[in-house]
Amino acid sequence: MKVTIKVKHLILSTAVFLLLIAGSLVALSRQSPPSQNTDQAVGSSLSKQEVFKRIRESEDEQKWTYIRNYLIGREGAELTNSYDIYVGPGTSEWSSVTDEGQGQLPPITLKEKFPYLEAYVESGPADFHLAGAALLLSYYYEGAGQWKKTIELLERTEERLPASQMYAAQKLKIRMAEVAGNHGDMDLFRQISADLSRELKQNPDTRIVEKFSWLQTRYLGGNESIQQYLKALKKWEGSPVDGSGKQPTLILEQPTLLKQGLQKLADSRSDRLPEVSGTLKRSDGSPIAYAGVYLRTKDSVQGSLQSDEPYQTMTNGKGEYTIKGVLPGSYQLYLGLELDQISGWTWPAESDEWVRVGLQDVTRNAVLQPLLELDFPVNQTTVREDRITFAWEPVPRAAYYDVYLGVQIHSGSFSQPVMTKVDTTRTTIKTEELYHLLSGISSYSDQDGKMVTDPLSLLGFSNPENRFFWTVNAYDKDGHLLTRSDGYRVGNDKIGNLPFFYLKERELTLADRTLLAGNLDQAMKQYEQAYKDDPADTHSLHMLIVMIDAQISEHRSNGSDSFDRENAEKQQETYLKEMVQLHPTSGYLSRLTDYYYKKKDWQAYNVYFKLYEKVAAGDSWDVDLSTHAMAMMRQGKLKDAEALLVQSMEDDPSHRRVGQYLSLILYRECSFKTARQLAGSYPDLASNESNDWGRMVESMEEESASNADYDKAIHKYLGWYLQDQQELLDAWLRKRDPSYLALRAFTQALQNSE
Amino acid sequence: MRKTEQLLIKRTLEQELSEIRFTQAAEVLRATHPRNWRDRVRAFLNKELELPLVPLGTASLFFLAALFVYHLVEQPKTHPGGPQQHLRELIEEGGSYYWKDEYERKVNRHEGDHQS
Repeated sequence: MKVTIKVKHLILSTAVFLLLIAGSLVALSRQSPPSQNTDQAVGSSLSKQEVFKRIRESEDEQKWTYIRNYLIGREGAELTNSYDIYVGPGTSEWSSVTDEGQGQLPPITLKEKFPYLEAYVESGPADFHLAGAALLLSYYYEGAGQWKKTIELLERTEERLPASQMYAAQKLKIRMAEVAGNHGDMDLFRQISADLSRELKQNPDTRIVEKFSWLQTRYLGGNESIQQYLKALKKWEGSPVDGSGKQPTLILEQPTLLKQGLQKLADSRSDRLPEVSGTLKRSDGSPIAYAGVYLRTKDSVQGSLQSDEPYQTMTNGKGEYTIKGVLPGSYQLYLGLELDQISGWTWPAESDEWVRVGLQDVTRNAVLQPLLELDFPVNQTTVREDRITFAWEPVPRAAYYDVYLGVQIHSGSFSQPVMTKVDTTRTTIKTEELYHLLSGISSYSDQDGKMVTDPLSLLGFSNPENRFFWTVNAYDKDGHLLTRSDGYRVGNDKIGNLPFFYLKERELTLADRTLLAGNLDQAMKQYEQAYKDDPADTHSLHMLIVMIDAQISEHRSNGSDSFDRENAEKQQETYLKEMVQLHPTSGYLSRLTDYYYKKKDWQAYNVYFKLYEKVAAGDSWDVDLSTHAMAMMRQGKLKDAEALLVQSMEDDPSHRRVGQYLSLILYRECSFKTARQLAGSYPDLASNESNDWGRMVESMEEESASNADYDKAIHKYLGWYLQDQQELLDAWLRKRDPSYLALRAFTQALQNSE
Repeated sequence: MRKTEQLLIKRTLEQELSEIRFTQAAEVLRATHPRNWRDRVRAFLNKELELPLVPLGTASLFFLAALFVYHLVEQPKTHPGGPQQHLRELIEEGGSYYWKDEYERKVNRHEGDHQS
């Protein structure tokens, strides 16, 4: 079959055909992006290069969508959600490397994001994300010293935003004022402030109003505004929360400690707030660029970082940061880092490390140290001997090491310090000592959702079938943490030796097997029988002590009526006393002293404390001096108690029971001046309440001015407290005597902080 | 046919065609004997080709199929979906944080060492 066709018709039809193909291809590729988005929703992921390629190759709307999804994130860009990991003293939290519902995003560093954020800010759609991108960029420019450019960027972005994005626009304005304040351009600061207050009068948004008033106090310190603010604060605090309509909620949301800082500032009449600055780097000198830096007060460190953290900034390319306008108080430094920045390294900050800000500038550097490497036993080795030797790589400048041992349990793992103050890089311990360790009881929910005691946590290291792990902390001669073995080990070159080992020296007894099978009552009977048959069977005796702990904790959570707690504790006391005859360890002795402390059986307490002190010294174990001081106080040995508290204030950076220390001083000599000074040197960082003891002492001092017999009252009421005259004290506290409000508040705080 | 008849027809024809003048001689000459490039192109465009339908149809079918297959192969390269090699999970084991795949590989290498 043939067809006759003119050349021109052939050309024409070929052209039409090609056009059709090209058109359908374009249509196909236009269609595919939405299908990719659905891919992401079911958890697909892209490599970094693929993300950038996608952004580069797409145009307009699609490009902005990609930047939004991959680089800004759903909740908008914030300094508090842009990092993989947030580390604080003694804590570490990894944020959504996986963004739920969005599929997994590859770790992309902020530095790599900046050019795209810049593009978004210049020509992206004027939405909420635009403001976020501009905010992130503002920290980048500010860190580079380009603060004029920062202001321009924020201004430009704010102008681009439509009226519907008022919240975002106001956030930008607040940031603009902050940048202006940081660089001392107070005219600009006032101008923006005036703008903002006009806007806020029309449309008050609590979040913005709070941020705004906060900002004003930070940068107009010493000015009348702060005094006014404090006056208003006092008034609002006095008035009931609802009702008055003057936004009392906003003020109440201010963390107590910040309020205390404000008060201190107002008292000092200083007109400049100090700054906290420093450098973030690794021990090899390389800077940690574009990391998040946050200062957090004690009442906020318990939770995760919030987007409205009062003090947040970003390090510049050289790892330097500055936070200006910091109110007096104690803060913890937190860092926001990318996985690659921390992997293989650790920030050796301990939970009791505080940045104390007075009226002077403070420098606080953070230096990441390489993780310590473990040598033996590692990679799931099995130990079958009755001794186990731990060995690790030496750390330069280390004076001693603490070795922690951990047990895997159903709901994760727990670990405890086992060998402390080891001054070599190798130490040996009898496996028997591990079997006698006391640790917490944990439970997990079974298939039916019922909470059951975890036998793995009861058996601890006595279980030859379980896998154990260990970690090491290195300290310098002053007791400062240098580095540790546990941390982020991401990437094959960082993974090191796995810290796991098996301990198969002993064999499970019949009772152990019953316990592991989950039959706790039966196991208890078998342990009792075994101990009866062999009074030297310390394993069964240990298990009996532990099992009673389990019963008590189970009773606490389930509240079964048939359980006689007092009787169980008595039985445990007997077992503990028998145990310290057979095998005295600081663990058992500490439990016994605790028991007698709670029972106020001072005779027995003193006997066992002496023993405990001796054994603990042999183990290089730190005894809690402040608790012992309390025991002395309760026995009327006030001199001993004071000496112990003096020592404890020096040793314990959290200054636990500083209130009790002050009460002793006031009781003895009624010197407000001494008490005030001591309260200033030892801020209370231990109790959950935000106790400002210095302030309380000052209030009492003011109260005493109009009260002739105040020193007698102090002697009387604090005497009741110190001598544990609980009933008299409670009756007085209930009376609400108006002439001793401050003294009563102080006594109440003492009771609450025990 | 007789001569007179022929003549008659001729005359009639001439009479009927007397109104018609042949003026496109140049045009026709250009088409039959193109001199400049424009004429040549036009001549080429108007050339008639005889194409065999079967081989041509098969070839274009092959071409379309190839295009489709190429598109299929190319698509995952730029837009990956389905099982991913980049999907990584961070896990906490023994106090440290690892990529799950790296951790499992290392554990598997040492698994069995402890089995007695």
